[in-house]
Amino acid sequence: MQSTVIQKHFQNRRSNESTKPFATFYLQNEFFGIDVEWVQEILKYQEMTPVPLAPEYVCGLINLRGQIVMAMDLKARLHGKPNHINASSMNLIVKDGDEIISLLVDDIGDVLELDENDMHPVPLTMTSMNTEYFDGVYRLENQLLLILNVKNVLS
Amino acid sequence: MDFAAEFIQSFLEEAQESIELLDRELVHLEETPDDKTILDEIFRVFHTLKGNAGMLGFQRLEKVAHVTEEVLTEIRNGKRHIDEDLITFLLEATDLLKEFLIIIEADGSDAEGPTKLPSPLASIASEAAPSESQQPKKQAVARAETRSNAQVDQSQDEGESGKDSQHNEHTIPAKQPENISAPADKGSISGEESPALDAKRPHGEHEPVDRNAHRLKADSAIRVDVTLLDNLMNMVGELVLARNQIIQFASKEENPAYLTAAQRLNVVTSELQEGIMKTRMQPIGNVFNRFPRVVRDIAKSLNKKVTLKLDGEETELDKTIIEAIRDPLVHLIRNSIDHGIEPPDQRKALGKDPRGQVLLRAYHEGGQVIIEIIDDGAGINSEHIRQKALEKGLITQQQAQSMNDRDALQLIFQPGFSTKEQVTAISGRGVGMDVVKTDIEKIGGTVEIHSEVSHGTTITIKIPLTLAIIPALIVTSGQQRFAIPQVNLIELVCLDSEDNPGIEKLGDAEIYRLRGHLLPLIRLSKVLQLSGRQLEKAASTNIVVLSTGGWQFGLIVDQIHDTEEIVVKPLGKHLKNIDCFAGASVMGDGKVALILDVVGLSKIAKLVLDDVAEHSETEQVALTFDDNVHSLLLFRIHPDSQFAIPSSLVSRLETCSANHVQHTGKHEVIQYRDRILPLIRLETILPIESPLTLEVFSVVVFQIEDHIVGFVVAEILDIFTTDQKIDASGIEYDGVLGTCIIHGKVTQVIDVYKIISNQFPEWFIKKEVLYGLTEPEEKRILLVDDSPFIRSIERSYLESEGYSVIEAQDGQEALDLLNTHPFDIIVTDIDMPRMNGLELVRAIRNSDRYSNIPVVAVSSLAEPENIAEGKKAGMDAYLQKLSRDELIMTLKNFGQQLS
Repeated sequence: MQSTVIQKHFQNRRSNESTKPFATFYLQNEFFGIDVEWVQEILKYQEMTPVPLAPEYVCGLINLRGQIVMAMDLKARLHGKPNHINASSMNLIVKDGDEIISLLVDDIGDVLELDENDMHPVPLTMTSMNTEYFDGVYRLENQLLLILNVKNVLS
Repeated sequence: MDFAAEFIQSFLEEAQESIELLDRELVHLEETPDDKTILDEIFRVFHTLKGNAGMLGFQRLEKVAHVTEEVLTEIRNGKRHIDEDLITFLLEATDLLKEFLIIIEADGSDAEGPTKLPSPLASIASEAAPSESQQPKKQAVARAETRSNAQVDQSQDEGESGKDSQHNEHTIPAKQPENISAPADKGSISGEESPALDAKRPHGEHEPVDRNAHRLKADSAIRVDVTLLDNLMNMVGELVLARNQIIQFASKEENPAYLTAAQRLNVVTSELQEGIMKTRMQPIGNVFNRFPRVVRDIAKSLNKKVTLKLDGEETELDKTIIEAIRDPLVHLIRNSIDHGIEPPDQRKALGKDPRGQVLLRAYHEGGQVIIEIIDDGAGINSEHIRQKALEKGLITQQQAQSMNDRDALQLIFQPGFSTKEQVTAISGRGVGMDVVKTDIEKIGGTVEIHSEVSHGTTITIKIPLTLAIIPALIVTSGQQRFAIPQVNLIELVCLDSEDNPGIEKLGDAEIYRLRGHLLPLIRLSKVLQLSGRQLEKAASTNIVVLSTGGWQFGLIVDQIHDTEEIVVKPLGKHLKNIDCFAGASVMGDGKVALILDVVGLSKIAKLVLDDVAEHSETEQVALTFDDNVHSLLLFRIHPDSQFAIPSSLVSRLETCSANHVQHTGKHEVIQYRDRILPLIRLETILPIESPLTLEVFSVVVFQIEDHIVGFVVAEILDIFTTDQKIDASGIEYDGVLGTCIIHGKVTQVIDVYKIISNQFPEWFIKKEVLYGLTEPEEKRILLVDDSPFIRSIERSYLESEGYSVIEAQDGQEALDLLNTHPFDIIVTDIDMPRMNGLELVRAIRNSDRYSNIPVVAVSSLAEPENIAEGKKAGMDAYLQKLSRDELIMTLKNFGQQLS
């Protein structure tokens, strides 16, 4: 009950502001961003326990301070091709309700404060990746920033 | 009855929470009167309270809630506006409810509670519900007046005069809502005093009572969100792991202060773990207590009389397990009453109490909780079960006969089994006992049934205390660690490479004979497709024998480690649907290990047995076939006679239903993997009594080059390894190699090739002959082997190919024969007494008369080094023993060279 009230307040506050911070990261030379609200933390490479018979995008399980977290090869998820996961890979830990998932990315970029109104829809001509995984795209000065739809990526 | 008291207790707890919520939300509502969600929430709370009170018979309380609800309805309909008065009214109503709760807690009834509504409440309510008879008939009074003290007095005057004083205390001036939420000195009745209140308390006397004394006893218990407990549980799990690490370091440490601290940490952690576990524990009574009602309803609908006895309600179990056990229990109890307990007149006739008894009992035993459902009903006739299982095609006639009563009873847990002829509304709706069993197995439990005809049935369920922390066996396979829940663990078997018979193969399936039982084996590394390099030719094989619900299988792993207490954590949604894993756990070294799901693995193991896959050539080479030890597939055609076939000759085992059999020409055939499989019925060839007509039978499939053929048998009994000599004397029939005694029964060993070649001679005539290219020429083969059994098999397939065969039992005898008889080819074993195969071939090569005869070695030792050695000694070919097609091909090649 109370929480709904709080949520409401929160939503009101949010809708009044038009800029949002995005955590950015790289998969090779592609540039991606996600709403920082999803991000719990960022960790360097962690040792993983592989999960036999799991889908290809499941890299393994990591022990995050006692919690067991699935590490997802984000490139495999987005492109269908496994990434070369190595010790320089980074864990972008995102929280989806009760479940915590690590997205394995190649490098972490800055947090960018971007205006929601500047976001463009993902071009339908983009065939290399499933457009469902993206909310939109920002045209930055020298590159494009693809904003992930985390819900779809995680589900 | 105690259980009513328990209901009241939980009602009180819930109501107390509701009232706290109301206090809070009503104030919110006053602040934001337009917020519909708050109003809805308040409405819901009153509505629930009304319903619960009504159910427990607290009519007065119900009435207060009802009147309030009416008012709220009007607000929701827009007929009333929220103002201060209204909020006051609602808060007063809430306070009234509080008083009721206090009285109910003391008395277990609301009879002594305030008999009428405080006046402002009454008058507002009366507008909403004019029909309320107990309310003052002051409908005409304007709302503005309702807050006046005069009004209060008036309403009291109209009430029962003896209670006036009391009501005075309840009536809270409407202008002071703050007081209402915390009426420190007004309107309080302590539960203990209340029964005497009306009679003894002098009119108008106020007893200043400490507010705290009036707190509901229910306050001493708090409700905690389960997720909070889960989090605590997780953290304690981590603490346990950290503790384990500290203890490990401590063992290397000599500082006594450090050691003491470590020990203290150890003890406290264990206690904390225990304590947290306890917070998740609930008495099983929480589930049991709903059953008296359930039983009563079911019994009534079936016109039966049943008493339910409960025992061990205080037995504690983890909350998650309690929730999971509820539905299976309901189902089992329904079954007991529906199928078990007889109608009263029938019971009378049997000299039983017309009132049947069902005992539901729970107790702890060996770290598990045992739940028993015992009825004194008709019991289950195991014969009946067998018949039913036969009709449903769940078992074969032979299985039905050989099955003991206890095993037969467990058949009711098979999918597709329901014994009740009449489908009733209570049970037998197709949701069978198999569902119950699966549900119980899901929480790591087992279920068993025992029954005595006309005395009753006992169903025993064993479940673990908790799912959160479990003891598990740690194993490795493919260099990865896995945990196996101990509850499924039966025993560990370690096989040395010398152990005989060790692991046997039937087609693709691996089988181990564990004390006379066939244990299907699965290799963990294979099931999980682990790429890690396998330990080659390990000195020993580790088999973990696992059981789920009465059926066992063996899991082959690379290494077995200790058992550990592990904290079970669920796998996320991406990994949930991998059958083989039940969860994961963080191990002592901080790494994650997967927990194997034994039920999931068992499905794979079942496949091993059900669908004995085709065995490829490479696997055929791997067949272990010691010279003197042979593995026989035992089967029956007629219940009285037992037969055997060397299991290495068998390609597959299949089950077939009689209505799939078709006739083409002189043969019966079935469609099989897109091919036509001709069937041979041995009883038409051998003098065997005709078998019973079977709905479902087994087919032993053989492959002769690219032909397939199946023998129809009634029942596959076993795979049996023996070093018995096969007695070939007294063989009267073509098609029988000899006899031996297995399981105390005379067993005829079938000459497979003889029978097949008699039925399908065209398969054995060489193609060249068929096309008239060459004349059939009888080649003479000298067959040397010390095992008469092997000789008889090899002879049979050599003869079926048109060779003439003379046997010798060792190298020496072979040499003697060579001196007196001409031979075209020699087929010899290696390992033989007196003179072995290598010595024989050297002697042949060194002789002047027959040094050019092709010699083919046929041995169970066919490793590359053996082959090299054989070739070096002079062998022309070196083959795996009993690989028929290979031998025939090789001989054919030599035959062509010779001619």
